[in-house]
Amino acid sequence: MIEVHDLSKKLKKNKVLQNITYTFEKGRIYGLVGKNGSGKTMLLRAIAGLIIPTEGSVTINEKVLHKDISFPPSIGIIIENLQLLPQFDAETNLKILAAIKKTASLEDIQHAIMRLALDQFGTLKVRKYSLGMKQRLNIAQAIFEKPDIILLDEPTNAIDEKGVERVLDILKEERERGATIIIATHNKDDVFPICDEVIQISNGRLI
Amino acid sequence: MIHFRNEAFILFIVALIQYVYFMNDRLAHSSFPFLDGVPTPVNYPHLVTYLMGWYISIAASSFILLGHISDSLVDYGKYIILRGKSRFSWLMSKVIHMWRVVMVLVFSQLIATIFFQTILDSDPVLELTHLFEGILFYVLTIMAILSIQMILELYMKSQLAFILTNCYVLLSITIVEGFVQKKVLFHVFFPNLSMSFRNGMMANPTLQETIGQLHELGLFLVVIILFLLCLSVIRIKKIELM
Repeated sequence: MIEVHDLSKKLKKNKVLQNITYTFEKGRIYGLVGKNGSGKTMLLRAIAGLIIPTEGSVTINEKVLHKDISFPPSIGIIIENLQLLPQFDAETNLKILAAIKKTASLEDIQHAIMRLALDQFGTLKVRKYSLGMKQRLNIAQAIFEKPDIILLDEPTNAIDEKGVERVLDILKEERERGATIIIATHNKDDVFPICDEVIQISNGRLI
Repeated sequence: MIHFRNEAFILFIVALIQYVYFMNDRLAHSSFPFLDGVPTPVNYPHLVTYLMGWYISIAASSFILLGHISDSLVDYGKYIILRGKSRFSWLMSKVIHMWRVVMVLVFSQLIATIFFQTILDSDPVLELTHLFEGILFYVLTIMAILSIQMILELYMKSQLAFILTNCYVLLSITIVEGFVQKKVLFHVFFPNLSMSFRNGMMANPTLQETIGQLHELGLFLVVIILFLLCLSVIRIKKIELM
């Protein structure tokens, strides 16, 4: 469970998040909807522990971020179109990441690649991937370790219609497994069908 | 792992180039010229020639670690940090990598020196009286320089941190030359401390009394490295991964 309590974040003189209080339950999918610059990504960053709140707190399973823990212990994230290592193929990229926590097996890696339909590209280097393929690989890196929390910033960007359906099916399966999923998007039509709750954010406030 | 192998290969090539550079000059140097540094006082053309030889390896290690901290924090490193235990352990892994780079550099320089001297069977112009201390100070000095680059990268862009660090190194060598009798300046501009010409480890006793006891120099460099590490730990705990 993720508890966000009275969270505010100030960047220079701008309040990018203002007094946000919300509880995200286990095994549910949340849609975080808002315009560009409304604070969606900043809220995801705060939940991931990437930024330190100016006021308030984020609690993950009763442990306060930046006090009891630096980062959520089990988290998968897509943020800002970060790219994986372009000189390697999909499997090698995931193996490198898997070597850090050592919680995912080779089967988990191959299963994630197959679920995102990247197995057909074999040993093709990531630098030769299209935007849609890179985004699917990003989703694979977010889910292959079966994390308790999955934070996705615009996950359906650059993915075709069939690919979006596949991604939504995967997220439903992850929910069944018990993961808490938060999807930030400005395109609510894509993710609306699978969300248990939709939260609107505007000017750094939940509305 | 593959990345580190590439770095090690580049450092080995740098060590070879550096030794070839020392072979071509006609200036005085010891059996281990990479430890010698820049003598003082020396005229400007000689200063540049000695400085070039000494600086090649410093610049190479600094360049190899360009963005080692800051680029990781703003890009792919987020995926790694989020899977790690803490910001502290992430920083420690980076520091360990810096040590590995420095050790590979110095080992490559030693191998290149011994290899070429065995082939050429050349007699050194001057003896180096304290080889172990020379290597130790050299390693500590490079680590201290790279630690400056590390802390700067936690506050600014990697390119700016690289330029500032290297400007400090070059300035520290050239600016101190006029103040050889001022011991404190050798400590403020600490890259001088590793230089055998300047600290008396070379069989050139003129400056030995200026710099003082050798173990004090080593301790001073260790304190600098630990101080910069502490500052980096404090900073990494507060830094935001935007």
